[in-house]
Amino acid sequence: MAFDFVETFRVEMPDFSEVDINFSESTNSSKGLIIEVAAIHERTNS
Amino acid sequence: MQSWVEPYPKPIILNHDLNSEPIGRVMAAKMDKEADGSSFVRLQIAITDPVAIEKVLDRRYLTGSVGGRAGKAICSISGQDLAAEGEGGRPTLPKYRRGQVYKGKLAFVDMQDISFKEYSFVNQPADSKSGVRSKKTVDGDLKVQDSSDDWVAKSSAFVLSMDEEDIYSVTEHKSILKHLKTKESKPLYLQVKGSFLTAMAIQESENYKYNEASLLSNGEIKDNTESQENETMENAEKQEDILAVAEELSNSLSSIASEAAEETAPTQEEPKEEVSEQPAAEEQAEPAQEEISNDNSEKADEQADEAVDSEEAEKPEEKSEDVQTEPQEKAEEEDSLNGEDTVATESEDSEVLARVKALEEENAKLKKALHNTLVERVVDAKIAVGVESVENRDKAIEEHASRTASSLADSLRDLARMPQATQARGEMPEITSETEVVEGEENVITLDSKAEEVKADPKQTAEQLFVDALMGRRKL
Repeated sequence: MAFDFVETFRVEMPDFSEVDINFSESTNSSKGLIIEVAAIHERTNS
Repeated sequence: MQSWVEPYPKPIILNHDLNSEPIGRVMAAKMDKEADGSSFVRLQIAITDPVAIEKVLDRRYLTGSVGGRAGKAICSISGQDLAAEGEGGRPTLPKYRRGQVYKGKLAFVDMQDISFKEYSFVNQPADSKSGVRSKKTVDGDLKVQDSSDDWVAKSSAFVLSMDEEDIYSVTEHKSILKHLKTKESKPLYLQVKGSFLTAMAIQESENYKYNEASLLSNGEIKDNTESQENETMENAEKQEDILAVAEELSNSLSSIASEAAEETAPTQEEPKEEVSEQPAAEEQAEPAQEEISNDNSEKADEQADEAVDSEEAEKPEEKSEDVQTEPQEKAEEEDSLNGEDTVATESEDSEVLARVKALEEENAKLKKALHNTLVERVVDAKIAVGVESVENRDKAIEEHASRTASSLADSLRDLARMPQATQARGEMPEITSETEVVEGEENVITLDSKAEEVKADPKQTAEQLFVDALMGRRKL
């Protein structure tokens, strides 16, 4: 019997304040935003 | 691990709402390790929704969440599959309390047969819903640590500039390709661009379906369907061709990936103590896996049914209101109403026709975009395995543009089976046993110890180069 699960965590986004790119029409423009983010995590110890 | 991108790139959504429009798609997934040796899944995601991009940029999305499904939940003490049906068709109750130590052994639940369904940004702060973590103290006082709010998932962002054919790191404010040789940077850029455009094409296609379903009422859908049925067979075949081919291709690539994974991991060991109980548990989990694979289609059907039901449910009310009000005014306004109705109906018809026409045009554009993406993927794949040279890419794209989707799909299948391609796939660590013990440490749950065993091949693929570059393992 398979079961669903969720793994929730806080994401620390990078600082975009100095990014001078307009993404307002990203679907039509030639710019794309790619995010690299950690998903499931396993800590070994602390 | 492959479930993040196969059989289709999993959506990035909000608050785990699978009925909502995705704001992006997963481009790639990889197991990685932090400095302390702990494992985690690293995702590359394409944010495709302009509003979502704004929210990412102003850092409104601060909590991430992964939704998945596990086929097994193995107790670390008894080896019992807690997800298997017990008496009365209910899940087995655990005998050992998670987090407690029994004869020096930590009780935890080892989730297996995991498939990921989506990545969400959620509004509420991180909570304690995690079910796959553990924590132990040095003095042997072992306990499961469910709280997830003490782990911060670091992220990084990159801008893909298709005008400049470059990729910029937002954090470092510079190009990640700048210090690479053209021989390395070009395939890397093309690979990323291909993945991004694929995500975009799938997103556009899904949005189109989503909008089409919400824009058209039941009757309009019926009319539209009837008009489509009246079209010639040739047109119908043209419409279905690329979508059917894409689906078939996806299935083929999945099976090729599975074969490659089996070939590259022939000596995988099963957990030792629970060996005698595993076969039974696996047999029990098989129907569950089928359930997983059918889950999306079932949900889609349910959603469609719900949409139909809700719209049908609204119709009788409208009719009954008409029945109640019309008799009172009928005598006086019959003639004028008929005239207004006729005008209104004509107006609505023209609106519907215009909308259908716009949708058809949009559909044609999407299919063309999907075809172009397919062409680029074939050419880029050929470049990656050395069949084509980077310099001839534009020319190769022109040559491939006239080929049918089926032909392009066949080429991709062939390329996927080529030794170079198979090798490249093998370099992406895959979760073959989702929860294993970290080498050298006891009672620690990991997601994929195979990640450690996979040695980096000196002939790195473009994807590997990009992943390494993005993760800071490659000096720029």
